Amino acid sequence: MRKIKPVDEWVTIRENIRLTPRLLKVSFDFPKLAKIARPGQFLQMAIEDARDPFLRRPFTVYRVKRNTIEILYEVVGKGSRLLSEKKKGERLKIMGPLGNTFTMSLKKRIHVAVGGGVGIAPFIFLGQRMPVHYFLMGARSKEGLLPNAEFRGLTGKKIFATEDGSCGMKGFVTAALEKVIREVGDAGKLYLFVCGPKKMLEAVMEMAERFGIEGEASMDERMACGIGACLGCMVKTRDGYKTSCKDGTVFNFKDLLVD
Amino acid sequence: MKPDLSVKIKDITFRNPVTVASGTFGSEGEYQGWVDYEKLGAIVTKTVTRKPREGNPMPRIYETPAGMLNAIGLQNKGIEEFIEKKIPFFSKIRTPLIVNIAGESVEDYVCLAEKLSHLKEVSGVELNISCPNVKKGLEFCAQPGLAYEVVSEVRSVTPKLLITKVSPEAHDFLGVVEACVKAGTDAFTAINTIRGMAIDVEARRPRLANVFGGLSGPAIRPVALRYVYEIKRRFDVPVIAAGGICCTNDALEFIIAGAHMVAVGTANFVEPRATMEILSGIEKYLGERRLESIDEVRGTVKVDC
Ligand SMILES: Cc1cc2nc3c(=O)[nH]c(=O)nc-3n(C[C@H](O)[C@H](O)[C@H](O)COP(=O)(O)OP(=O)(O)OC[C@H]3O[C@@H](n4cnc5c(N)ncnc54)[C@H](O)[C@@H]3O)c2cc1C
Ligand SMILES: Cc1cc2nc3c(=O)[nH]c(=O)nc-3n(C[C@H](O)[C@H](O)[C@H](O)COP(=O)(O)O)c2cc1C
Ligand code: FES
Repeated sequence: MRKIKPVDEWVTIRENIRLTPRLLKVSFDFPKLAKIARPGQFLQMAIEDARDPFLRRPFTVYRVKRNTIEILYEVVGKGSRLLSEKKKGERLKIMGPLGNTFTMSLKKRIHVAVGGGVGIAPFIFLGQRMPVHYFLMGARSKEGLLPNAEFRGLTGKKIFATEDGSCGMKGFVTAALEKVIREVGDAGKLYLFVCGPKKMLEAVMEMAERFGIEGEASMDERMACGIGACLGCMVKTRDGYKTSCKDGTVFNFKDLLVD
Repeated sequence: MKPDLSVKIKDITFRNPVTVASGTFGSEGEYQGWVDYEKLGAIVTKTVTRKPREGNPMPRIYETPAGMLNAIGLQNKGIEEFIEKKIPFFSKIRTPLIVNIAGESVEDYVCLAEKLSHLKEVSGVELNISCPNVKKGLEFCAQPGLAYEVVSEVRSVTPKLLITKVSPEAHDFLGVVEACVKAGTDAFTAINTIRGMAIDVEARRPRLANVFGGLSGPAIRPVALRYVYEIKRRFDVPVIAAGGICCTNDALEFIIAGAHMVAVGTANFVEPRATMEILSGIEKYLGERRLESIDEVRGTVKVDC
């Protein structure tokens, strides 16, 4: 991988809006970062100047439009709640891009992005940079699904699954994956990109193994430094513990050890 | 004229008092691009042990108010690989290198110190007798007798700068410090993390797989400051301060309390340039007051009782 120098600057919020009752989107201009960020990479966000909350919060790059970076997020705790209360014109400190990227040089494969909830985020950016043939998105209910308008400009086929059946297929995202496998016929042609909660990753990887499908997963762990210094965000691989933030977050299925 | 920031401990002159705390600065240039390693007063490595250590299971970290808990468990590749693979990286940097070591027995510490004593790239050895996250981690720091034994045995095999890193959890803290001074330590690093715990109330499980973790960050700064001051009040021995140092003001508090150097730890995770900002802040503080050297600030706290 080419070595790029990450940047860390205060940026001004352009827009901070609610897309659904669960999903929000914040955007800001950061030309230097927009130029060097690649799909799968994340940034570390300081939401408050006063170091409270103390650690930065990691977020994936959701979309890049010229100089503007967009982040898709949900409110889960103090940091994300404070972020949701930020108004246009307020500031955030952003450090990035961090981590590795999805494999972009695959040929003659059917690219299937599988996102659980907000885990769909990196695949919109991926879809901006290479063909993604299927976007599979799972959520508890339709509030957790990305609105159609957010897929504008992307050509891949969208298949939604909700646990309560309020939108798309009823069930888990693996049901959507099964549908794709049936549709394509030859599972070996598929290549998966997966991001989402641990349980979902495990279920998808188990299916991939069963059908002999290759792919890679973004392994998101709690982070402190985000640059490989604290050894807090480890992922179990066949080659021992690796840092999610620096060696990942993207790991090939082949390298992962799932308990 | 630029103020003189240099600090002398034993026979080593550090170009300034700003260093990093063990385990918070990576092991092979993770902070390059953020920090000019040549501008640091010293570089302190993550703890190195005799054998490779895989570290503790996940989860290993948890954020707390004004800080974090960690239970990394001294993950490292062991002394052999450290010497073979990491030393070459540090040899290119002219900043004094301090290697932090830990063992499960006196013999381990002696063996590690001996191996390092032959390396010209290594300026000093920091004895971690205060890690809360591994079995026996705090044993040597718990009793003055054991602390004396490990420090004096290491002293007998290395002429290098010898720093002992102490824990606030020692029941007889000043007794341990006194024992280490008698055993020949050249300096102290104070403090290591303080053991803490957090529980997930939904799962009713500890937040860390190791159950306990070391608390670090601004939450422990007042405690660290008190210990640094207590050591300096009783003993004429250099102290490298650690504990929640995030900005210039924090660093100056420790220097005014008597610290020779200030080690930036957890703050590196939040502000990768923290060391550089603190360094220029200290320079500015001296400059604005027309002070010629950091010696005019160190240990100048005015206490009336
Ligand atoms: C590489 C990476 C990319 C991410 N991308 C996105 C994204 O694009 N959109 C989005 O909504 N979320 C994303 N997350 C999760 C996001 O970081 C957390 O939701 C956020 O940190 C929660 O902070 P909080 O203060 O609201 O929650 P709290 O629970 O109060 O946070 C407490 C601590 O736990 C950490 N934490 C809590 N939940 C998570 C989690 N799920 N993953 C990692 N750390 C967590 C926080 O960072 C903080 O250190 C990503 C996580 C990682 C590791
Ligand atoms: C993630 C992490 C890893 C650490 N690893 C070590 C270590 O390997 N050896 C050691 O002596 N101290 C270790 N420490 C303790 C620090 O060096 C320091 O003494 C302590 O964190 C207090 O300083 P701070 O509040 O500025 O971080 C670690 C601390 C953290 C947060
Ligand atoms: S978050 Fe510190 S090593 Fe990954």
